[in-house]
Amino acid sequence: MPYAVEAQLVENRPLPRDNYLLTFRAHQISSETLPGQFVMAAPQTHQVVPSPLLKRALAVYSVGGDHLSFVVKAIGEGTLRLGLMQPGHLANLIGPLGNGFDLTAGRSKVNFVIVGGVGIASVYLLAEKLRQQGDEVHLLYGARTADELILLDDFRSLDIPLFVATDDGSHGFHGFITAGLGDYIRQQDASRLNFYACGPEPMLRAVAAFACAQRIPCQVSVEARMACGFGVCLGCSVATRDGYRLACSDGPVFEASELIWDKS
Amino acid sequence: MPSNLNLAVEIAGIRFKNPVLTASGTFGYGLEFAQFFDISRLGGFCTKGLSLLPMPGNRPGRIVETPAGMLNAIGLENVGVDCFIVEKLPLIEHYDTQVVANVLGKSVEEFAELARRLDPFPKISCLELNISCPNIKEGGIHFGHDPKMAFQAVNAVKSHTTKPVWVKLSPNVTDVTVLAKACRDAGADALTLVNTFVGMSIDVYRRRPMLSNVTGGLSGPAIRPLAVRLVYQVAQTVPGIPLVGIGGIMCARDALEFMIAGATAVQVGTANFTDPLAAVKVIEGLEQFCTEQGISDINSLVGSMKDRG
Repeated sequence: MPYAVEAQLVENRPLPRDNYLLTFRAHQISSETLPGQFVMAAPQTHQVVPSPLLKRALAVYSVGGDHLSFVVKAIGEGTLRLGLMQPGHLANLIGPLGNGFDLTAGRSKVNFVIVGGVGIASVYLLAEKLRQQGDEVHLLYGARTADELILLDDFRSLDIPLFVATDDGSHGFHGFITAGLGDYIRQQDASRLNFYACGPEPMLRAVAAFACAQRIPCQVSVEARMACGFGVCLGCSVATRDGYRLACSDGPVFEASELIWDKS
Repeated sequence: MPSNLNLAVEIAGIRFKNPVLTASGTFGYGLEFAQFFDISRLGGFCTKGLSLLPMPGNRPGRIVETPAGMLNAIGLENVGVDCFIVEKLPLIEHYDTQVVANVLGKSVEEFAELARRLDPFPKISCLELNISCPNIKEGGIHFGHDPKMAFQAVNAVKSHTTKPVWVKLSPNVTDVTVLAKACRDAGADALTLVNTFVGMSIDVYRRRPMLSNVTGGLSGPAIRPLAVRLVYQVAQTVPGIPLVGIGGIMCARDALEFMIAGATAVQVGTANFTDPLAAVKVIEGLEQFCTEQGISDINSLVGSMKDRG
């Protein structure tokens, strides 16, 4: 069940490329958040008409005790205002929201967590929980260039194999993560593989197609513009074989085989 | 609330414990908000627009934020009236608040049939006809633009229901008072003013519309002064029918503007997305305002604007 709370910022850790790792004290939300869930967030304001008007949907990065963190990339006014928050400032948060990843699918499997860009912000809790339940996890992480590879140390400390790719070859494999996937996978028994993916749509589409062709179970976390975050505005619809479903309350995690990718 | 303060209002024989409702399309079927507050505190709420058959809605790319507002082109996605009756209505039965069923038909006959199907359910206090959604290509819109069609729809609904009938009007017309008069003359019990204003927004890098539907309905504080003026205009020129004001209400002050302009009740819409507790805060703010201003009955504010600024 989601809570609408006022939460105090404990830490704002700037990351490369206009990313910020914000940590809040929000015990109700943090104690109930599952991997892959998200919050709606906005800095608290005394303006009657906040600018921007709507909260932003942000994947929970990690939780610990009463702390909850998420990564925000400052790309517009709403995300910039969040990124500029200072310790002690208050935010209005609603969460935890969404379904989250199904971890039972990863039991006794070789789990590939495949992410592109800021998709990394959605999968830390997932990798951590999979490790805790004793399952094998590999992180496959692609970005445009080396300094966009954020938060790698956190994943290194989980002691999991990392495969890193950059579009410009400045770090790791030279090319898209999806191009490196084929080679990396050869070392594995395909029947034991399980995919989790989060990133830009073209990447998700490529991962989904690959998984489908190889008959590998694959969950993807999608992104969509949304106004409310809890199933009311119906703004964040996603085309599935079952008709339109909502990224906020039916997702954001879907079975890759369920999704119908836009033809455009 | 002070015991000598009356916030209750009455529209067509239905008593609302306070004049604050939540708007269709921003409150689901009621239950989604029950996880954040006791929805029995509301004067009432309007359901997501119900059609005879379920509607899938528009392709994704349905909303975009704009200055002090948002554009939406949901395309009337809804579960359909029968599913609403079977699955949703029993769950809202025990909430002590008035339920306004928002309905949308593509023809006069569909409007009449929707009214007939909802009539047996006492939990539904009144019907609100959506003759004004800007986001569907076929049907719907011509009712909101054509006074003769609006008259026929209202007339048909009135003869198939025992409940009060509200009509939600479009602002996207040259003269809203023409539509207002047609609905009143057809027997409408109240008018909801106004639905969203048609607008659009463009992604300049991709040179594509932000919405798959190209255009959408603008809501939020950006439209409030336009909506207040339309309520005032109808209140001045179309006497004899109660008005429900809607358009960008964020706080009690905004709600008061609509009431002073002539609305008996108000609906809070987009603000529910900004803050799930927005409607409750509007109610609390109205209590506070009345107490501070020594107003004992909120009805005394309705249409109370003095002539000059």
